[in-house]
Amino acid sequence: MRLEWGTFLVKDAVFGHKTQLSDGVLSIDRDGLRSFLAQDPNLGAIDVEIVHPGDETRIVHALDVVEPRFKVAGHGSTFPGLLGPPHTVGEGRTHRLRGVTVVQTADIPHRLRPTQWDEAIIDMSGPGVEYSPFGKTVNVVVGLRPVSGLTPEEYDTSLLLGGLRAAEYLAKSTADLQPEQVETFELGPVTPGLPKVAYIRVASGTNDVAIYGAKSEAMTPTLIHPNEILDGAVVNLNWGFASERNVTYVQLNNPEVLALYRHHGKDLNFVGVVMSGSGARSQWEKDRNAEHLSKLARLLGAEAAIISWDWGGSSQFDLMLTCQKCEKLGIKTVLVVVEMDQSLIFSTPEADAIVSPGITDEVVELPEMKRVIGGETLYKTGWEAKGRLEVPVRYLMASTNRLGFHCLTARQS
Amino acid sequence: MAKIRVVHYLNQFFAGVGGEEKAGTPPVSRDGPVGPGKAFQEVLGQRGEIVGTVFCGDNYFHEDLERTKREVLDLIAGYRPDVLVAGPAFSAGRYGLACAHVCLDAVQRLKIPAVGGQHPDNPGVGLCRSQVYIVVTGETTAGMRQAITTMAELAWKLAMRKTLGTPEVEGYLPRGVRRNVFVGEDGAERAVKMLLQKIRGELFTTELPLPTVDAVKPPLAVKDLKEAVVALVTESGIVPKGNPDHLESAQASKWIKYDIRGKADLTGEEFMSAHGGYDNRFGNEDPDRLVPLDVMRELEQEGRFKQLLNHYYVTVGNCTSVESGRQYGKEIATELLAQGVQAVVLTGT
Repeated sequence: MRLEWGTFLVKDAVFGHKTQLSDGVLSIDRDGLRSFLAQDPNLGAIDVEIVHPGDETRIVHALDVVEPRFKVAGHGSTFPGLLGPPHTVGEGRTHRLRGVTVVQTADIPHRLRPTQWDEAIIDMSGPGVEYSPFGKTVNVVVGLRPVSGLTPEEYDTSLLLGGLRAAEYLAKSTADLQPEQVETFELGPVTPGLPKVAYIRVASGTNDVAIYGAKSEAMTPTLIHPNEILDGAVVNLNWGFASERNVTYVQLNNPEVLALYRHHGKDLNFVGVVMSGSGARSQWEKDRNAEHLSKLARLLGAEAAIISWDWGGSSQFDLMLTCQKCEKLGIKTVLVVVEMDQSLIFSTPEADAIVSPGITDEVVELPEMKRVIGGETLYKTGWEAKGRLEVPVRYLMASTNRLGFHCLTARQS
Repeated sequence: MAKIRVVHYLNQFFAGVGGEEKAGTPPVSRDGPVGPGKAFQEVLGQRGEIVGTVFCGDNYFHEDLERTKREVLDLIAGYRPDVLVAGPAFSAGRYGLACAHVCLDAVQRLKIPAVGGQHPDNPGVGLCRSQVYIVVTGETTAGMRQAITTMAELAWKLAMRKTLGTPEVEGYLPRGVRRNVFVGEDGAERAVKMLLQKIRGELFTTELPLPTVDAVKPPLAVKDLKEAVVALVTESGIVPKGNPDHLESAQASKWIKYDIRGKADLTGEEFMSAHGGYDNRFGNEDPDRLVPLDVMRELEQEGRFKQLLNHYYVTVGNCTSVESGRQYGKEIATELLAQGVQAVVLTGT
C-alpha cells in the first residue's frame, strides 16, 4: 500500500471571488463555500471567518479542527464512509493544504448537548498560542447552526459533515495543481533484524472516533494499515475536554504513525496498527478487548508496541489491561497517558514506560482579546469569552493531546 | 524587593541553650541570626537578612502542640518575613516534626514559602513535604554547610518568586505535585525513543511513575485461636474522656496505648472519640462501636481465645501521610510481637 501526500504550503487565506490557491495564498469564495455547505438541508445559517496567527482574536465553542484534504487519485474518497462510500483508502495521492485549517464552531442548545461536551478555546495571540498548536495556523472558522427540530444524532451529523465538507471544498481547489512537496508512505521491506513495532490505539467506548464513518464504540478490535489513518479513514467525534481532544487534524496527521514511519527502516520495523473501541460496560468486555488487541499485535509479529488511548476514564483500564497482556506475550510497551488528578486511576506494574502529554487541571491566564468568534460567553462558567480568563489547560484545544501531538509534559516539582 | 526578610526556626540545642536537659524551653525569639543562622546569613550576603530567630525546646513543642504552634507563629509573624527557614534537622525526629509544623503554619497561615532541611527518613518529611520545600540532608550534622547553602539559595528564589528548576537541580524532595512543562520533542517522538531504549535493554525513565501502594500479604490464619493472645488496635481515635494525651484530630503525630485491665466494656462516660474525620456522635454514645471491648470480653469468657491483651492501641487516621501511617504500624506491630500477640482486631473508620 503506497500513499502520496501532495502538500501545498499555505501562507495566507483571504476572501475572493473564486476559491483558488496561488503563490501560497488561498483565496476563498465565501458565498460559494456557504452554498456548498447548504447542500445539507439541516444546516441553517452558516458563518465563515478567517483568523490569522497574531490576531487579537479568540475562537470559542470550537468542535473540531480539520486539515483541508482532497483525494486526487486512488481507491476511495476524501473522508471515506462519510463523504463517500466506505472504501479502503491509503493508496494513490491525496492533496493537503498545510498551514491552514477548518475550525467548526457551534453553540449547541442545551437539550442537544452530548454528555461529553466541553469548552474549547483557540487563542490567536498571547500565551494561549504556546498551548494550542492551532494558534499558529491560519484558521477558516465555520460557524454552523443546524435548523431546529433535529434529533441529537441528526444535529451531530450535520456539524461533523459540515466541517469535513468545508475542508474538502478548500482542498479541491488544488485538484489540477502540482504540489510543492510529495511525501510517500509505504511499509517497505527493511533490513532483517530490526525490531518489529506495532501501534495499538484504544479508542473509548462512547462517542470518540469514526472509522470509515462507523463509531468505534463496541467494535471488535481490528487491523488497519497506517496509510488508512493518514488518508482520512479515522475522524474525530469527540467534543469533550478540549486539551485531550484528538481532533481530526491530529487523526489525519497521527503523530504516532508519523513518528513510527520516520523510524521505519532505520532503527525499527513498523508492522501495522491495531485499533479498538473500549469495553465501556464491563470487565468482561475490557478483558475481551485487551485479549484481541494483544493477540492481533502478536499476529503482526510485534516485539514491541506503542499504546495510546483516546478518551475517558474507564478506558484507562482497557489501556492497562492491554499493556499487561502484551508484556505477558513478550511485547514490550510504551504507553501515552494523559494525567488525571496528577496520576493514574488504575495501573499495572508492567506499565513501566509512560509518556505523559501533561496535566489538564493546571490553570493558565489568558489576556483580553479584541475579537471573539464562536460565542459571547463560555460554556458552564458563563464568563465573558472576550475578557481576561483564568482557565484550566483543559479548555485549550489539543494542548495535552493524547496522540503525542504536542511538546507538553508534566514533571515533579 | 531590595533585601528579603528571613526568619529562622531552631530547637534549643542548635540555638545554643542546651541539650536534653533544656528540652522543656518555651518558644523565644532573638533578633538576627543565631547558631547555624550565621552561616545562612553568609550565603545570603546582601541579598537578604535573617531578621529574627525563633527557637523552642523539643519536648515543650510537643507537650501541647496547638498552644506551642500558636506561640511560635506569633513570634515569627512579628518579624513580617518573606520566607521561613527551619533547621536543618537532619534525622532528629522531634526537631524534624517541630520544623514541619512550623513550616506548615507559615505556608498555610502566613502565606509565605517555607524551606526545611531534613533526612528523607525524618518523620517531619511525611508531615509537610507536599507544601514545604525540604532540602535533602544527611543523617548527621556533617553536611551542615552544604545543607545551609542549598536551603538559603532556595529560600531566596522562593522569596523572589523565581521559577524553580526540577527537584533534582534545586536539591529539594519532590513534593508530589506535578506541573506542566514544554519540552523539545512531541510526545510521539518521545514514545518511540523510549520504546527503542526499552527494546535495547537500555536505561529509560518513565515520564509518569506509577503510584506506589504497599501490597500487604495477609498472614496465614491462626492455627489454634484458643491458645492465642488477641489485641485491639484502632485508628478511630477512641481515647479516655478529655483526651489527656492530646491525640490530634487530624495528621496524628503519634499512637498511644491505654490500659483496659478489669474493664468489661468502654462506656461513653469514660471514653470518647478524638477523631476529626467522621461524625463522632455514635462512637461517643458507645465507644464499643469502634473498639469492641464488650464483645471481645464475652468471647474471652467463652474461651474462644486465650486472652485479650491488657492495652489497646490507638491513633487517628485522618489526613495522615502514608509515611506516618507506615511508621506507626511498624512500631505498634513490633510491640505486639514482643508481647506474644498472634491476632489483632483492627478497626478503622
